[in-house]
Amino acid sequence: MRVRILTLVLLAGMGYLIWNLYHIQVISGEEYSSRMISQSTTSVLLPPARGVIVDRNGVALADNKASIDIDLYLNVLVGNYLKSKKGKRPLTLVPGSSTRKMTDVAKIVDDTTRDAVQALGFDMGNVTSRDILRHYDQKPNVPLRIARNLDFATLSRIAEHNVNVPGLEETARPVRNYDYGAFAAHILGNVGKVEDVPTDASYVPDVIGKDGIEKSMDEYLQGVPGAKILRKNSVGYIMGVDAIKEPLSGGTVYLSIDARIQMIAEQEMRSVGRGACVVMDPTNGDILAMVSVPNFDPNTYSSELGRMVNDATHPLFNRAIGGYPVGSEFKVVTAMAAMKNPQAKFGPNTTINSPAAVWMAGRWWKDWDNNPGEGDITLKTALQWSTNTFFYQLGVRTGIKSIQDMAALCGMGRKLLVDEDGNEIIRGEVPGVIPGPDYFEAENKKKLEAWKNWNKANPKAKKPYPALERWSDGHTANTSIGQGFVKISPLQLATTMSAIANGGTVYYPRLVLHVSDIPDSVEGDEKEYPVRKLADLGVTAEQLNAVRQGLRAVVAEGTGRKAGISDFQVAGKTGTAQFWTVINGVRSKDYKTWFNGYGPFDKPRYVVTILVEGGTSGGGTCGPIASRIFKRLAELEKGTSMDMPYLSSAVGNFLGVKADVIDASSADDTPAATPETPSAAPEFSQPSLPAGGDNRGKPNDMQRRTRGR
Amino acid sequence: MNPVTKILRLNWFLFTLMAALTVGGIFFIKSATSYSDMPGVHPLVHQQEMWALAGLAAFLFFAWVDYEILLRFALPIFILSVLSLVAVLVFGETINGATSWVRIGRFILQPAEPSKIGFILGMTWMLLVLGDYKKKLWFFIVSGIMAMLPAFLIYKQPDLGTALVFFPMTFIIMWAAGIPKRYLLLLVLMVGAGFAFAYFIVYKALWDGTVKDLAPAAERAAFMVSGRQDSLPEEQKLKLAPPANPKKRDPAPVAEEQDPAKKKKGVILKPYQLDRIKTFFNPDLDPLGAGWNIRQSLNTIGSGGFKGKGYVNEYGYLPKNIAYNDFIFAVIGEEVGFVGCTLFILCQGALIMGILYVAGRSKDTGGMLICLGFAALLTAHFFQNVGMTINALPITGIPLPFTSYGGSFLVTCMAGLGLVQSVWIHRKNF
Repeated sequence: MRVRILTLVLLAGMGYLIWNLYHIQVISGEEYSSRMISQSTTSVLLPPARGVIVDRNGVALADNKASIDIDLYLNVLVGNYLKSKKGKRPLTLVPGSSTRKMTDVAKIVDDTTRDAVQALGFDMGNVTSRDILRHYDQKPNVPLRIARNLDFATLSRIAEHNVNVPGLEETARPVRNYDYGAFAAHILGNVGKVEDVPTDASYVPDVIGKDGIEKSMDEYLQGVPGAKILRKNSVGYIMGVDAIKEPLSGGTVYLSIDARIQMIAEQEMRSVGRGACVVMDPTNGDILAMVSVPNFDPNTYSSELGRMVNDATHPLFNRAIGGYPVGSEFKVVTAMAAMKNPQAKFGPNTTINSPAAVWMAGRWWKDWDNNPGEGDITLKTALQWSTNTFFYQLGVRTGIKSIQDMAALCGMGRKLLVDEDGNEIIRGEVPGVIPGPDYFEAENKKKLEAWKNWNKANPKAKKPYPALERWSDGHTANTSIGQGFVKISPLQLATTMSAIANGGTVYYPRLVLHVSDIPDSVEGDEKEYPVRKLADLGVTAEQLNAVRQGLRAVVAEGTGRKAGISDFQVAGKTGTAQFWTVINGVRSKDYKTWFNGYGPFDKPRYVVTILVEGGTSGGGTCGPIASRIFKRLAELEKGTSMDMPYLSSAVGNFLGVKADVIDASSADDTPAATPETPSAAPEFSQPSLPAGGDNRGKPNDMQRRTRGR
Repeated sequence: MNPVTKILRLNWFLFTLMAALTVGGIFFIKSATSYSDMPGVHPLVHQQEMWALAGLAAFLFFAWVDYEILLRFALPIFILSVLSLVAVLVFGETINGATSWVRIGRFILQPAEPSKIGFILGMTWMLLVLGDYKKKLWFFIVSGIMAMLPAFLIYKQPDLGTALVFFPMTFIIMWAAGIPKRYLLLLVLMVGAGFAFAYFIVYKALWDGTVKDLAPAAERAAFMVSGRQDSLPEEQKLKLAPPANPKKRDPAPVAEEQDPAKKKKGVILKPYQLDRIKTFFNPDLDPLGAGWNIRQSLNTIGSGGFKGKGYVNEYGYLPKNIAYNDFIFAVIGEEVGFVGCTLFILCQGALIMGILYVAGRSKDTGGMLICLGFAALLTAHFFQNVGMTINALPITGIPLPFTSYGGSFLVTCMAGLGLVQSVWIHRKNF
């Protein structure tokens, strides 16, 4: 009887258990399964390959190469070690803990890989046993990279020896590669590690663009990460792959650059210590080459960063878009402004008497030194010989407002490398300055503000009222020849010259042609950067022709003769801006010398703008460089093939910079400098840069003198 | 009589079930340990195989020996069991905070398990010897003390789950022996009061969503329950008690209780025990802490679904150091699903019912009591273990008969079944 009761109770209990199980396993089984899956899978992001940057013909300038790394799968190593040692595991303390114990992975790594590592002869580098322990403690299922970017010798040894240590594996990882080294470095920029990782970021790429196109086009270059859904158990051991979504590599950025022309410009500009060169297609504003020296090799950017930051020649600075005094290069703007302004009563054939010096705004304004004077000359001659007295008078006749307007039409005083929405294509472009009354007003306001703030901060000490400046004809005259406060970038000069060459249309310089779609992505990321017109110069063909004839005369028989070549006719303008800079505490002469020209004269295809810092004169220093570039461009058009070597970093220097000695002995090398002239006028506020006359290479000076006499 | 012919007369139904459960257990232990990197886990399967062989030897021995001879030595056996429990407390090894093991040579034994057989024999012996006085209250008290002695020693290890198993064994043996119902009612009331204590005081008063931060509350509860009962007599006052002063709390005072309910439940509940009670009533309260085991167990079993995921197909999400022993049923649930679980439950139930059948067929009261006591032991383990994995009972960490990993318990179970077989074999006088 009692046994039967017990049996019934037992049956009831079993029924209860089965009923419960039915609920859990059959009715709620799905829910528990999904809970199980959600906690037993992990997704691993697969980084995409970074998009490629190519030139206008599809030549890769920045792509990816495989870096072979050695990874240690610590969990595999430990598992095999324990198997071979029948489960006996060495123990050690967790780094940083005095009580918590863990498997002594460092010992296991040492025991299992020592022979292999020695046989292969690669260095474990700075991976310490502490690193290994910490890594295993924190992320046991993430492989530990013990060697990266193995050289070929090690790789072939690995292939030969066929090291069979399970858990020691070589992995190919894409790294950014700049095919030609220090080539278009300021355009391409560089990539680097992500520094400020947003805390909510679901995906952090290996590298992001830090500068240049790499930075501005980063969103297109990044690509779309893929993912692997991995099944793991409670201790994180990966047991299989559930699903995989391949990453989509980034889009291709097509630059307007022509790699061959860029290589020509890079190679020719290496001869100078500091400088920049822009080669532009005048028909549409495409930048064919843009060089700034000294430069850097983006491949070794991070290792050389320390040196570059301390380099006084600033290799990281992109001189092609920096602001400089342009000297006589500005004269074409003055000339066009004068012809456009009817009040100036100036035409292609108008003559202006240009003596050795003119009296204006209360002082004498000299032409370049010892110049006996030109007499009544037209624009063509004035450009040809870069006659300062001509342009002083012309500038005052035209008025600063017209000059400023024309400069603005030419793209000066504004950033040009921007897309339709105003986003910079390359970081760090200097808008530049075309001074005028408005500029002085703003400057004065700043000075007063600073003075007030200083007085507020130092109530006891009194600072004298700041010297405020007022615009005068003297300033206008100075601006007319590109001296004084004028700041213009090589790129802006190239843009101006392109407009003159193509008949008066100012185009935005174009650096990026288009960005291609990310392959296989559903949503198109394609973007076109069309040719964009900035302005029309608004001068007649006849007027423009006068300027062009003048520019042709410069190269044919004027100051820029050295820029000429035999293949086609080159036109252009030389310039030498007098500039003093403080180098190592010594005020030193550091002239900015220029050549800005185009060719062929009748059917312009190339605009070449060259800046050399610390040069002697525009014609003497930049002319030969321009000539070589034009020559090689002509050869290129004829189909001459050219080498594309890997370039090392161009190192900067201060050759050509001289401590400030203005004496007769250096007069031979020194272009016409007239520092005493402006300073002799007390009522005339001294510009930050001494006003100066034009300048020519020594041979031209000689010829000029002869001719003048 | 020839030992072989004698052994061949054993109850083959029970033997088959035992063999099936043991062999199945070994397979599931293998599966449960296949992904673990715990040191010394992989050899567990081989150890279990060795223990199974040792258990088989014990089984054959106890089946062959006439249980009446054993009953004659029941008192010394019982005393030996109690002494072994004392020895554990003195010389034992502490693993996972419990001093439950003694090391003898290469082997680590858990004397609490064989002591259950010793207790069954001892209890049976006493009921047989002093059977005439079974209606007396003093007899009930003496036999109660006899049950309390090993239970208390095991509880001191501490191993509350194993200690609690003595109560159903005592109850069933007493009930079968004809102890007056009023006394037994007292036993039932003790258990009921213990449950009420757990639910109303520990869970409702302290955990029922009103206390957000669980750890200090757990400490306070432990203090209230264990520390100053005399000054805090009522439930209401417990809630208003000032925060515990840790210095006053230690050392935990030994129980000297008037309230039998609290005595039954274990007066000094450790914080982890409170946590287990709490998570039993609401597994989602603290999913990463105390609720982890039960949640993972439910996920594992539930994900098995109707047919299961197949052998060696688990993610190892069960706590890896208990998956192969206390939570082996969860592994079974995952791998063979509802079908396999039902089959397993039926096997376990059939085994117990087979023992009950043997009890009914035994030639004397002694044999019957031994069988019922052992059936109660298996039933308690079986229901408690399966119940906790499916959240029908609180977690107490006692193994599943024949199937869980654990040498001492496996040998104990097989020896116990050997006793039952002996009752079966010797049901007729030869």
